[in-house]
Amino acid sequence: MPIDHLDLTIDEFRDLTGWEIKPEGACRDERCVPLPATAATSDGRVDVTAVAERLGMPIAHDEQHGLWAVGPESGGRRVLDDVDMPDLVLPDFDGNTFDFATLRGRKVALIAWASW
Amino acid sequence: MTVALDTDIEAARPFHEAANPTHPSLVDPALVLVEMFGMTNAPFGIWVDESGTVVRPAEVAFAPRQPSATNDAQDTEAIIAQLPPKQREIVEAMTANMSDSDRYAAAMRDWAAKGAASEFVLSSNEVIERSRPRPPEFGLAAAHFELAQHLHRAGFARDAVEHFQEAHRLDPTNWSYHREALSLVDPSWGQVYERDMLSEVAEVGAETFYPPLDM
Repeated sequence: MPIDHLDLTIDEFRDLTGWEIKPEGACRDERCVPLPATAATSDGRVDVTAVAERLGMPIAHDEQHGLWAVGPESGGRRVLDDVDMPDLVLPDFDGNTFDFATLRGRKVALIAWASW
Repeated sequence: MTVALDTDIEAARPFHEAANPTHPSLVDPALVLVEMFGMTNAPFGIWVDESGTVVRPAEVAFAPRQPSATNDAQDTEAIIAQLPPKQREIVEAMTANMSDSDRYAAAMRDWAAKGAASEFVLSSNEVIERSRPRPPEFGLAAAHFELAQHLHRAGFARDAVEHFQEAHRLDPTNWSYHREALSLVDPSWGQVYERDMLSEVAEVGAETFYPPLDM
């Protein structure tokens, strides 16, 4: 979801990116990345630009609508950096949510298609 | 399970209803699977084993042609045959691997029967190595695509176009982004993208449209 300002609370940043901001840096799963001193604003909010740059997450901007979108970690890596199926919850055609994790214990072929 | 990569669920619904699937049939309106697994076109598939481990990364996943679709296929072939030579050459190159569908289905059945002993199950390192690279420009393309989708849904469809264009410029072999963008164009707008689809495929490389199966 795009954001309309580049200083977020720690909770907002976690919800947006999955990264927890802790004293030791930005942490996700068992990985922590040290952050520059500029990563936190004077009132304790997260400077999204500084943290995203440190994590290799590009930012796209729409000036007319005052929106920014933060891309995935990029550079020197592949789409999959491990083989554990990520959390995935999607709606069905009736609007009910389906959690991929409920299929644990079965082989799953996930086939993506499109109307186009 | 199947997942429709469609911003507009209603565009996918007629196909879902016609198929009347008994398996989980889901929708991915944000196209998160494209970013998550590198599904650069459709149909693409991944395999996940009983423990939740990805054992094959995203790859072209056509279903075997059904007998009931033979007439449609013949119609399509007849249309392609009538195209001007240059366009026909592009279409034939971009669809060359569509006829490989029996092999994918056979491999899937082998995996279903043999599990981890199937020759088509890849090691963790192979899965990661075969998954799509994500250089910074692809990450930025994902961000522009997200902006474009948001603007489209918010009612600023024309303003979304520049971000769809930028996503395609930054990640030109990600046909999921570009095909989705083209599907959202209102015909009343006239030409909003510089090139038509076939010209775009010719420019980027027809072999990137449906990469050959490596199995």
